[in-house]
Amino acid sequence: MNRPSIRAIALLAVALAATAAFAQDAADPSVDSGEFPTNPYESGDALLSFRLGAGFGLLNLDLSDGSFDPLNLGPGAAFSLSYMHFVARGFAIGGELGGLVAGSVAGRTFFAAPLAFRASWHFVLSPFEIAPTVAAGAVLQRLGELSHVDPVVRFGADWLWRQSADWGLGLRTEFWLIPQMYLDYPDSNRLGGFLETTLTATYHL
Amino acid sequence: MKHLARATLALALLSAVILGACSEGPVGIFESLSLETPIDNGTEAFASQTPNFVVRFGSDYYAGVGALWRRSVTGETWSKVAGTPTGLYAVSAASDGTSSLWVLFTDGDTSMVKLWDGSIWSDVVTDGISTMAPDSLFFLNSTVFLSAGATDTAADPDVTSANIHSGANFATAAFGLAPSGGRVKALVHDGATFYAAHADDVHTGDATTGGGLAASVTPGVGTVTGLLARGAADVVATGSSGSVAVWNGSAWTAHVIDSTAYLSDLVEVPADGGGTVVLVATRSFGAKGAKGYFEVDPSTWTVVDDRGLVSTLTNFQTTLEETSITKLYYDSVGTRLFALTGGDGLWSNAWKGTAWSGWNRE
Repeated sequence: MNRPSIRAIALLAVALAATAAFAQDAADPSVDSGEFPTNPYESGDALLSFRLGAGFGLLNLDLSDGSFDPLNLGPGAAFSLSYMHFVARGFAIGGELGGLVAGSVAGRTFFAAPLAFRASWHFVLSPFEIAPTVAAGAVLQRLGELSHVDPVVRFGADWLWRQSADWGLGLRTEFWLIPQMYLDYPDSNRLGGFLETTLTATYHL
Repeated sequence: MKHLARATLALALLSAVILGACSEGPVGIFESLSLETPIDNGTEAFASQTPNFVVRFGSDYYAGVGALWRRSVTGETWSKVAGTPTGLYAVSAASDGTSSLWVLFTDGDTSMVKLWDGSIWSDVVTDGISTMAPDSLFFLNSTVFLSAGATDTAADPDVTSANIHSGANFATAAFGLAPSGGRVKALVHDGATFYAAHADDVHTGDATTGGGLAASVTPGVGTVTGLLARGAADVVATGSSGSVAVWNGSAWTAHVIDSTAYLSDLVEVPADGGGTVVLVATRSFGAKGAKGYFEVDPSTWTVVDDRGLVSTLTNFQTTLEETSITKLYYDSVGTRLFALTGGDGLWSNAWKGTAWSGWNRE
């Protein structure tokens, strides 16, 4: 794997570790300690979020021999629309439809459209929020004449500033893992990884 | 929870639509990406252009892409050649390889042939075709030829005759008849006999003698678009029907390459792994779409499936797969293969002695 990929994964790991540590401190988001106001998200609430930003191809692991290959994608654009419904205080589940578009070194366009079910935990340090999140679903991918649907797992966090009672603005950093499996062509099986960094606008329904 | 149930249902329906709309490719997407090689942007002036010719003269390649361009065989940068006629396009060229480069310039109304010796341009007298519309130059068997057609009127410029001209002032016309159906598309020499492609026929004989190409045979490939002389009495023709035909000295034998393709040209080059391969170019024409080129085994005249003989499959897919190719040119001295496309510029691929470099933009 090339050095930029390793660095990016390391940065992501640090970010996730920080998120987890913060989450541990705010283990009970409903506690009103003065420092951590009562979590405003109650069961029945919902969030509609729009995201737009950049996507980076980082990982291309050959599952047939364990070697790392270049993914040969340049920086691309990522976007998504999600709907999250709170089923408990500070905990929401929902779905998300997104997209990632990136150009390859040979001039082709790679497009991925993940459709995923998502869970997120919302921790509030007013006016800021951190929401670790995981998602699982399917991703339609297209490259030139090639197309394929594979499972996708995504994990990361939303970092939000609560601008008003209705709106939150911030940043998402999330890593996608796509095991690309070809039953008829096992030598083509790969594990792909992408980093999404998007600006987020969240509306509290 | 009612909202969540609705959202879940909507997502499930959307998922079903997306999943049902896909098809699996021949290799993996991430695998295909890993096999990519960077494609240069190439010469800006060549982008989206239809090159007319490439020919090597001395240690330089010359290309007609609107104007006349030149680059060193070992270089990468193309530059315009100075001293060419103003306002005229370079449409055809022929070279003896060492001392003479003939270039045909035209704007549709005015045409002239110029001779370049490497340092000075001189005019070539073309009195012999003063009433003709010149079309293409060829250099074969130590002789330069000019194909030309006569048109009836400027307002109705249908070609009414086609000829191969040679000799002083291009006065010698080798066709013994005045066939209709367009101009001469190819001229080759097998060491003893000339072969000229015209309409659905291949004319044979001596192109340096008046009327010397009177004999003709129909290869049965539709309009004959390209010729390849592989050796004495071993000539191959491409045609609009999607077939090639092989001449063995007495008869043509047709082989279907792809009946949905319009074959436009062919060339024989070294193959990765040894031996040779014949590349058969395709172009878009009418309802027929372009398919780049086919790799054809010259021992069986069947298509090789994996496209791995002059590039990798991924390199082919990212460069010429659906591209309309009008001509192929292989320079055995510089060991470089050129693909002249219809509207997608000029591409080349270098033979490194044991393997090809892969296609890239010029």
